[in-house]
Amino acid sequence: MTTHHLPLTTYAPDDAVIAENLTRKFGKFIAVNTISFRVARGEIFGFLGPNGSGKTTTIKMLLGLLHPTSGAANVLGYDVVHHPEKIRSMVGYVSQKFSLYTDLNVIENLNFYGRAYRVWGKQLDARRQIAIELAGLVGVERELTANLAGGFKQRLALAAAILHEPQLLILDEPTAGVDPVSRRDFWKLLYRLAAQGTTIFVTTHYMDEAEQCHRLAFIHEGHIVATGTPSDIKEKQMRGSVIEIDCDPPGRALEILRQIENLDETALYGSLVHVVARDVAAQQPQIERALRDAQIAIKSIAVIPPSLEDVFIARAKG
Amino acid sequence: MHKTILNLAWKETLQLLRDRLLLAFMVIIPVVQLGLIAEATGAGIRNIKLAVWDQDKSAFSRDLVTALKNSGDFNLMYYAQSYDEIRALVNDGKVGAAVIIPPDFSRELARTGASATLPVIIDGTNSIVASSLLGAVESAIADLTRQFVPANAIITPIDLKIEFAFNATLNIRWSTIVTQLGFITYQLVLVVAAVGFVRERELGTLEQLAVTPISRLELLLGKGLMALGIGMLNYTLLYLAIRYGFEIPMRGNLALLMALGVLFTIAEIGVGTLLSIVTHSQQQAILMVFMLAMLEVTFSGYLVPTENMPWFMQTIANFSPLQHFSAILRAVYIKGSSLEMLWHHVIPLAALTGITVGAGWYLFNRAEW
Repeated sequence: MTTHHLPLTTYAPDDAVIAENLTRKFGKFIAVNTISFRVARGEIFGFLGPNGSGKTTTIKMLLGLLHPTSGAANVLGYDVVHHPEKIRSMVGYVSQKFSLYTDLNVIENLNFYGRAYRVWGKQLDARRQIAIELAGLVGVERELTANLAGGFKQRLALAAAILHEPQLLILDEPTAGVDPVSRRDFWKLLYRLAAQGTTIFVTTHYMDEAEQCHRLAFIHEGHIVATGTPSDIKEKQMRGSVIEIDCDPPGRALEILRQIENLDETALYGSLVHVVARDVAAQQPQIERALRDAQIAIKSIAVIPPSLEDVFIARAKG
Repeated sequence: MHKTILNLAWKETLQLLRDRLLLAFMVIIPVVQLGLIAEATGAGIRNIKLAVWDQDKSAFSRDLVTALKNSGDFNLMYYAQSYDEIRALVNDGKVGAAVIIPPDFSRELARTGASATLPVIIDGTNSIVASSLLGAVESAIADLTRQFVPANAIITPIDLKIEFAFNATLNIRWSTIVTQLGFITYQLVLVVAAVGFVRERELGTLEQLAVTPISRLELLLGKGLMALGIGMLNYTLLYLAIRYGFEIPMRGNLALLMALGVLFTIAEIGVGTLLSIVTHSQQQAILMVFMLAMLEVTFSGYLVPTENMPWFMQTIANFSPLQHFSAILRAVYIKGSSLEMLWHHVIPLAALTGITVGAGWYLFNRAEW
């Protein structure tokens, strides 16, 4: 193992998480490649990226489950390599896969995890009750966890992670595979926790969830390709403009447009075609001409503000 | 720290109580195993074919033969007239046991203070059957002696001179049952310990445990405590069943038997933990337990006495905790051996315990979550 504790001279008490050139290799594969970012205390920080982009590996390093190959990270003032035990008592973690005991009931799971975090006796009883109410688990306390629906399971996992009142909550795709209503309820919970001062570090695939974060980092193939607030990313970090075309048939249009050089990105959004162009003045007429030549009817064509997805796709490409 | 360990052990207990398969394994296997042994060693054996060569031809010898016949255990098939005839009957498998009453048997018995010798030949091919045969002969003779000797008289012992026709080293009656005490505890503890970590790894719950402030040592101790609890509960219940259900007299020191049981259980927890760390699924872990169990039972001296094995097998047997513990059990329970007489088994067992637990701890500490 190479050096994994660079001096974090820049640590400030306002930071909940600092990563500096954090890298992790598995053999020759570089899962996380010299990434640096900061999470301020009290914010909801969205960590975005496709599957296999390095999100979970990064989280495992922050929790001290994996050692960095190089670089360093500091969580709540402690180095992740040297003091993981200090970090663990102040952090709550909800993993990607449901990982409480399905053969225990709700209360038994909460009791076990509460005590695991050294919360005992009356304090445990009080906090467990608060967590059960907060997470909407009233009425299923004695239910075997295996029998709970997906949304309940996720809220139970969250409840188990907050019994020790963590300063930082790390959630790895907590809403993957959960229905839209349950997703919205879950995010309401995260907002309540953030309002109480808990820092939230959350990974997600969903752009609507990303929009709800205070700040975002987008990781792609182990590299961070964009960071900032959602509006900052949309307004300032897009290279080129998004042209939205309503035409018929859109699939054929996509084929035509892909043959045009200098267009950064062409993609289908429902029945609409999105094209990213560096020079709208020159390229829009070119697009219209190409579609007309192919006898594709254009119902409307306009430059629109980019969505987060537009930015991330554009950033991921280059 | 102790609260954390108890929290873990309690969680494991709750899970165990919900795991019907494992519970069945804990309850049914010992009951079935002991029951089968009981069937094989106790009342289950009836109508053993018997040959008698009565050279005495006295009233007493006839009573002895009648007593054997009436015991219900024997089916008197042949009155033999010579040793060769007796030998042939046993060798050909026509009888399972033969009793030779010497010419002066009743006279010897009548002489106060002397003991009469009664040669018995038993087919020892199946050690379980052989030991029950021996028991049946013993009890028939004991009944007879009680009948014929007044209660206040000094009971003249009848010295059974036993010859095992095919398994000359068959040693002591009941050793089979007592050995089960070790076997059943072994299976159970090994399985419980072997699935301990790999189960959580497979279900993804180990990672969730890893991010709590619970240390690796606490985790290991919590799981170990649970396995030790189950193992010793099982051990104690089996002991009670053997002692009072099967009425096999315990000749040794109970505290010693229990203390060495704890040592053995910890050794097997160490082995199980090692298996749990090197395997990737519960299925793998269970298969490894089965392979190991087959080897260790072979080496334990249950089927063939260890001291009769070739030297290289004896060498391997030295590395089996079960082999040492089986020997310890037989010695303490049946012979009443003290700790001083057992160092040659206790020291290797303690060393193996240290090695397995140490190796388990070392590997567990190095493993990435």
